[in-house]
Amino acid sequence: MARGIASLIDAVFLMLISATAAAILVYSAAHYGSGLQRQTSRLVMEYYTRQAVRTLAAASVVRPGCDQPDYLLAYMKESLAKNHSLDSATLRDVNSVISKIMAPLTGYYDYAIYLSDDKSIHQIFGICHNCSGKSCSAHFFNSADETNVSSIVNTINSSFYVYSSYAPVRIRYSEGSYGLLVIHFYIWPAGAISGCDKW
Amino acid sequence: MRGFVALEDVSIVVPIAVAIILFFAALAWAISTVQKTNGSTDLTLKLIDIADVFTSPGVLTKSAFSQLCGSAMTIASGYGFCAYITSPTSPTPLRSASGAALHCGACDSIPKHVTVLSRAFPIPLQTQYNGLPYNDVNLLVVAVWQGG
Repeated sequence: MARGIASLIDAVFLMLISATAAAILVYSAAHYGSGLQRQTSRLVMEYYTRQAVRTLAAASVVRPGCDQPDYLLAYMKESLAKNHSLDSATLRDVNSVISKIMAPLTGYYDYAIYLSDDKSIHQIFGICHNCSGKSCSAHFFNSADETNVSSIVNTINSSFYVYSSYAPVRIRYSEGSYGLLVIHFYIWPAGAISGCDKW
Repeated sequence: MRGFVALEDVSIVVPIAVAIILFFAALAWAISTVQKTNGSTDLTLKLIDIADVFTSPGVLTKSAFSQLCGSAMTIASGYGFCAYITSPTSPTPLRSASGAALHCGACDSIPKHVTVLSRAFPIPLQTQYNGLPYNDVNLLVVAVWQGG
């Protein structure tokens, strides 16, 4: 009788050890999968943002009343050198190009473009979704106030879900005066940053 | 007494069998999950490698696309792939990609029963406007699958 109980207990112990080993296997395999999936997803989104900045920098536009195309970047630099921020016509052109760049992600991802240099240019604009409950509403924001821009950029940078890329370009302010303009491009899942309706 | 021994054998064998089945089931699941994840990671990396071929010139031209198609085929060896350029405002679906003006790879023979990974990336494509170069925003769609 005692031998029988001892054997039974041995078998139960074996089952416990085996169950623990199985649980460890399941846990580590599941985590291995989700960790790699997160990293590859991040890789693809970062590639997208890098390609978005390159496309923005190379895109051409034809302004109303013009019969010749020119680089959008040339218009942006011209407007920034004059006004330290994009004027409404250039902003409209940038947004029309961005809407094409963001076409595959429209409604699923929000974006922001932050322009900065070592002198006086600090502007951020983009589209974000503010969600409360089940309803989300898109909101266009545009700010050229340095304090406000810094606060928005800090909020975006502190979010875990943000993918970003940037392109540095040379800008001429006046004859013989040059600076380095940096175009930052951020995207994040729609509604992932709360309170952006106040931007 | 003999009956008790038989009962004792059953009580030992059942937990041991359960333990072995449980362990090997978990092992099989773990191996299959890791293999699936590795396969999906390989597909993603291959997709980016292929996209990189087409985006490397910065601004794509129609003539460059056909030249780059050869390089993409070399890179994609061992995988099936399809890459094409489409408009962002009226995108061409993947299954009709062979009808796109600029397409490369096996767009007309995408297998039905394999996992196909596809992604679209923005790309500037050089066209003409009033006889001058015009870099229009287009989408580069790349699809990859195992085997090819």
